[in-house]
Amino acid sequence: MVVFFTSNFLLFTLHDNALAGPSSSNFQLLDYGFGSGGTASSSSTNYMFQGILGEVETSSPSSANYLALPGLTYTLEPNTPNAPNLSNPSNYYNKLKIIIDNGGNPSDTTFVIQVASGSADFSQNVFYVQSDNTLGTSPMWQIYTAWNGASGFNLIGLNPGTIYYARVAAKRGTFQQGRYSAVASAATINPTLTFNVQTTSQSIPPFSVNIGNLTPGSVTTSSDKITATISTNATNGGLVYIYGTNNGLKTTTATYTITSSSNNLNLALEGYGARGTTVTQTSGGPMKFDSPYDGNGNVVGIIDTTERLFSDSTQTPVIGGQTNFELKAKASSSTPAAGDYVDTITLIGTGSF
Amino acid sequence: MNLSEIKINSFKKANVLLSVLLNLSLLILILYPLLQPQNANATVSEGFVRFDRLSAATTPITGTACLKSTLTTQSAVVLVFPVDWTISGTASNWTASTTNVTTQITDPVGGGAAEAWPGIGASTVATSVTNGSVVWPTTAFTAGHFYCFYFTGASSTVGPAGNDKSGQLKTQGGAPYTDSMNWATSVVTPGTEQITVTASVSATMSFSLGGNSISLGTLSSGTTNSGNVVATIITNARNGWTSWMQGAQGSTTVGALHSTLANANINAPAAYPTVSTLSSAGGYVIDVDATAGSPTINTAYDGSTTEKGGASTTLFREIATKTTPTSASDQITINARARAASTQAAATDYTDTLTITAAGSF
Repeated sequence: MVVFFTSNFLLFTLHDNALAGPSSSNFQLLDYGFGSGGTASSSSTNYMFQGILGEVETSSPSSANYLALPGLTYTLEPNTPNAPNLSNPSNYYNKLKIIIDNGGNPSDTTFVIQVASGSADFSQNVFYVQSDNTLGTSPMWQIYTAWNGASGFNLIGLNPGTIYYARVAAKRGTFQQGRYSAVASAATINPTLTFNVQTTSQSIPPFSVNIGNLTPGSVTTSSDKITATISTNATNGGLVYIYGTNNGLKTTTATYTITSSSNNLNLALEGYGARGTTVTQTSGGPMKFDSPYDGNGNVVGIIDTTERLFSDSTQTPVIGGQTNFELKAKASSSTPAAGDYVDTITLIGTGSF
Repeated sequence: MNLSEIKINSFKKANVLLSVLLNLSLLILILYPLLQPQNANATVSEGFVRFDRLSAATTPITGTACLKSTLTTQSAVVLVFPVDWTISGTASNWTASTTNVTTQITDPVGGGAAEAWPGIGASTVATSVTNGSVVWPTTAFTAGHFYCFYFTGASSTVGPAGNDKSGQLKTQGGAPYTDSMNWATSVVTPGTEQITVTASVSATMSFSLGGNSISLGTLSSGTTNSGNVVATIITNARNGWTSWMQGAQGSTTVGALHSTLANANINAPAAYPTVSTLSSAGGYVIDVDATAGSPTINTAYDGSTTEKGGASTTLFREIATKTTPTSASDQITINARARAASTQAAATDYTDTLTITAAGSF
């Protein structure tokens, strides 16, 4: 007989040892007993009595993840959840998505999520998911909805290129933790970034764009457009930067520079700059232009020696994010005549990880 | 002898055991960071490492590193480069700077201006370089601030072309790192990320006269009569322009108003290039003034009063010049001045024809 006392409950179980029992020519009851079949609970203001008369089971049927135990304690344990759904849905390098199963348990059941990296048997590098979705060393018990229910959440702060294993246990009350669920696994990938530049008429370098002959007082637009393509799984998206070497279009023979500035060339006497035309993406993003390269008409953004953000993928990973832009220039009546106005534009693709 | 040998052997075994233990301890200390739990911290909310050039074989390696973290215990920053890059192992070859960071870099997520990475000044030299990891000393962050610094690695070279070249940006100040951000970059074949932009500006030149005749009226010996035309020059000639004048009457050094009826001339008092005055004698001179654009007037025609001027001639003579392209437009005023001497033959057809020309110096 085992008696459990808690502050609010009195739990009482009584067991008989199972003995060899009655038999016939074909059958014998090897393990049997008489249980109370349950009894009505007695209770007072502060205490409640739950009792059962039963036998101690001589064997406990079990599998890798389930175990049938006798007695009241076992009957009060929560259901073991199914394995969580652990996945890498979008080429994550530092996070994974996890959705836990509540196992049909009541809403006040709490769950702990155990995670291991590199050990499917949870023999090393074992952590617990914390309330901020990071990994920590202390178990964190939360109800199903706190783990964001059927929608799940992203497990963050993970290492790239690593396999993670996860399993879940449920608990009701203070002492009734169930067994861990089956294990799910998923892997982060390494951070990625590809970048490519080409022009309308050139797919291989060296690239050159001739704006053409500038007629004083008129805005001239390059017929060739420039396309920068970026793909990255960076959490905060891809970034495309631009800078030039001359702060404008520079002629050596005339010792003069058509200075670049962010301006409306319709109003300026002279100038030079870039204007974004279209952005596209295969997936993710979307790509967008950043000011001052998002102007209309003949409003251009500066191209100087400072690396300036031209476009980005809206703080989201992107595949095939394309930035298309054109160059515009305007000469004034006093802009020195010369045939060697030149600038060298450099485009940089990077990821905000 | 045997006993002694046994003692010596025991001593050797003890030494060997001690050596093994010490080496094992050292090995554990070395590998301790690797034995740490394999979870990255989640203190870094954003960051990037941006290289100024993505071309393979670029040297030196220059770029920008930025990080935003929730931790405030940093004491050093570690930049780990891709394994196939050539990274100078000399710490003094690696410098970091925060000059102009606040004006040149914007937080791509938050949108505000970046801040100078704490502890990095105008030129902070790395303290160590180990296996492609460069360490600079820093001070602690303020949580949630976006910090950046520029870095330059002399005698270091960007590796071969390829995508997904990965590295890390980490900080120290805890064990073993307080922040850790994995990044990747794309290395392209040389020149693939650059575009040469060219343009040309054609030569322009315009020239016009405000009128084609100057009437000096009836000349007398008591006063000097004047009249003018304005010449307008617009050109983008990089070396500016020059204007010349040629008269139709007189000689190659002394121009004149000529009367066919009287077969007489009213000559310039002085031969070219001397400026003369009509205040006390009869004569005919040309005075040129700068009206717009500040051209330089040839001294031979730069009369300082309304009585003075130079001699027109039957040769083209330079009257004004400018060494830079015109602004909006340049203008010169060509004044013809004449006074009759008391003995000048009377006639109504004293005439000269001035030809004004200009050319750009491209």
